[in-house]
Amino acid sequence: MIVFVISIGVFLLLHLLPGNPAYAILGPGATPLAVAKVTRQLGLNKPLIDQYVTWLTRALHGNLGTSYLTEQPVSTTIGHAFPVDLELVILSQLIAFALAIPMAITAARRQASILDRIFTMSSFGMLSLPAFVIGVPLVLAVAVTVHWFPATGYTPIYSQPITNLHEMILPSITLAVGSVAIYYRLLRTDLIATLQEEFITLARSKGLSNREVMYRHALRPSTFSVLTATAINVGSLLGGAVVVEYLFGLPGMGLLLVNGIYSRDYVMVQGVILTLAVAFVLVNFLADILYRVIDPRVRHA
Amino acid sequence: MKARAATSFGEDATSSAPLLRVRSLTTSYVGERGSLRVVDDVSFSLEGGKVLSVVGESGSGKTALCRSIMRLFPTSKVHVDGQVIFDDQQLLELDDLEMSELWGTRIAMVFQDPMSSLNPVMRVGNQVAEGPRRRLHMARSAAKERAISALKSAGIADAKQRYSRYPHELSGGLRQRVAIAIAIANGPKLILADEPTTGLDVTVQAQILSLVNQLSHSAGIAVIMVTHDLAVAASASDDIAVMYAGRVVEIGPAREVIGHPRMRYTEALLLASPRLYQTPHARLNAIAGRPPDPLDLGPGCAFSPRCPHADSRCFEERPELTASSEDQRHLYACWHPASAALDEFAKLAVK
Repeated sequence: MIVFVISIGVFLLLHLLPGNPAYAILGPGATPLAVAKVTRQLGLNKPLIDQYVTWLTRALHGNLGTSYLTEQPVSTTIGHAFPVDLELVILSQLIAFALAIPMAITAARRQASILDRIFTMSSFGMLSLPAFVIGVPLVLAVAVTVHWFPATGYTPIYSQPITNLHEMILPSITLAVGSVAIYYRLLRTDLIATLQEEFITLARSKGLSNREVMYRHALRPSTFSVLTATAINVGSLLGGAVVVEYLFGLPGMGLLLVNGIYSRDYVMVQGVILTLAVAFVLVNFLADILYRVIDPRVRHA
Repeated sequence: MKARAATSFGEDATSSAPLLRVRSLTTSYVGERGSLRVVDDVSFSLEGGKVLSVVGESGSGKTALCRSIMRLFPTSKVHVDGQVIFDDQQLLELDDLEMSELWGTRIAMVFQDPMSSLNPVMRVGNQVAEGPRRRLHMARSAAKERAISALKSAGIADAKQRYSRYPHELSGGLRQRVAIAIAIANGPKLILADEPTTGLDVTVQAQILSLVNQLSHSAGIAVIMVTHDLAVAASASDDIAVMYAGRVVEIGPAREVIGHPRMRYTEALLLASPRLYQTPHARLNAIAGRPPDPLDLGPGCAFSPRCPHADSRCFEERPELTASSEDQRHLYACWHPASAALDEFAKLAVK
C-alpha cells in the first residue's frame, strides 16, 4: 500500500517537473520533428494515467524501463548499485552496534562517571559532524598517509570478498559515526530507565551479578528505541549515503539518484526511488517482526 | 535497657538462638538536605518458621527496614548502622560480594507489585529457574525441574504449562505466586516480603497469605512481611511489629498486639479500621493530623502531636520499649499505654 502511494507520488512528481526528457536525449539543437518522434517513442504523449499504468505494470515485472541516457535497463544499473549500499549500510550498522552497545552499558552502569561524561560529550560531537568532516581526515590519516586502506575504489563482494571488505571499511566507519551517537544516546537513556525497574531489583535480590543483571534482564527490554532508530536509519542511509559514496568513489544508489536528477533521467530516478521505497518498507516490516521477538507483549497488541 | 528488652523478646520457650537478630538498626538516606533517618534504632529477633508482620503507614520505614536487612538499595547513598545477625553471620560486616552470595540462596525477597517485579520479556519459568541455574549452578534440566516444583509449592497447579508463559499472560494472583516461587526456588531461610498482597483483591490476598504461612511453617522459613494493613498482619502472622517514624513502637505476639494494644498509635490504627457491624456510611475514626516530617522530629514521642492522650512528657521525653506486665514478649513504647482489651480484634488473630 505504502509502496503504491509512493509509486504514484514519484511518478507524478517527475512528470510535473518542467522540461521534456526528449530534449535531454537529443541534446540542444534538436528539430521539433525529432523531439515529437522521441516523445512518441517514449509514450510521453499519452495520458498520464496510461503512462503510469504502463510503467507500474512493467515495474511489477521487474522492468523499470531503460535509461534515457545510458540506454541500459534501469533494473540492471540498480542491481549493481543497490548491493553496494546494502553492504555499506549493514557494515556501518554492525560497527555502530559494536561501539554503541558497550558504550551505553558502561555509561548506564556508572552514571555521571568520567567515562559516561566522555562518551556523552563525544556522542554530541559525532552527532554534529557531517560525514565528510569525518571521512576526509580519515582518508588522509589511514589511506593517504599510512596506506592501510585504499582511499577510493569498489570491487564487488562476490568477485573479491577480501578486497571488497578492505575497501568498504573506511566508508562504513564514516557512515557509522552518526549512528553510534544516536544508538548510544537512546540505549543509555533506556537502560537507565530499565535499571530503575523493580524487576531489576528482584534480579539483583536473586544474587545475580551486575553483569548477569545487565545482559539477562536489562538489555533486552531497553532495545526498542534503538530498533526503531535503526529501522529508520537503515532505510534512509540506503539511498542517502551520497556524500560517503562520492567521497570513497562507491557506485551506489545515492550517486545514481543525484546524477539521474541532474540529467533528467526520469526513468532512472523513478526506478531508484521505487527501489528505495520498497527497501524502506521491507526494513520496517523486519523491524516490526523484531519487536515481536523482543517483547512478547507486542504479540497480542 | 532497650537492648535487654529486645533480647527478651523472641527468645522464649525454645532455647535455640533465633535465626535473625536485629540490634539497634539505624538507616539513613544521605541526601542533599542532609541525612534522613528512615529506620531508627530498631531491634527484634525472629525464629525460623515464624512470620513477623511489620505494620506502619507510608514513610514509617518498614520498607527501608527490609532493605536494610537485605542491604539491597537502589542507590549507594545509604548508611546502615547497628547489627543484623543472620544465622550467626554479621550481615552488616560482610562485603558486597559476600552479601550478594546470601541473596537468593539464604535470603530472598518478594515485592509488592508482581507486574513490575517480574521481567516482562522473560518467560516466568525461566525467571524461577534462573536462581537455581545461576546460583546453585544446576544443569539446565535440573534447574527447570527445580523451578517447576517451586511453582507447584507456590500453589500453581499446572506448573508445567505456566512455565513458558510471560508475566502479562497471568493473573495478578498467579504472578505473585510466581514471585513467591522465585523467592523459594533456592530454599532460603529468610524471606522479606514487601507488601506482597497490596495489589491483589481480597480473596487472592487471603490465599497468598495462607500460602506464605504454610511455606514458612513447613519449610522453617522466617518471613518478615511488610504491610500497612493491620487486618492482614493479624490474620497471617505470629508476631507483629508496629512502626512509626522509623521506630518500632510496639512489638509482640500477634494476638497480644491486636487484642490488647498498649501503644496509643496501634490502638488508634485499630480503631480507625472499618468494621463490618458499623452502620453504613459511619465516619471512620481516622487518625488526626499527618505522619511526621522525618527531618523535623521533636525530642519526645513521634506520635505525640497526633495523640489525644499526649501530655507534656510525651512531647519532651521519648518513651523506650518496655515489656507488658501481662506478656513479657509484648513490648511497647508509650507513656500512657492503653489498657482496654479489644476483643473484637483479638478474634482476627488466628494464632
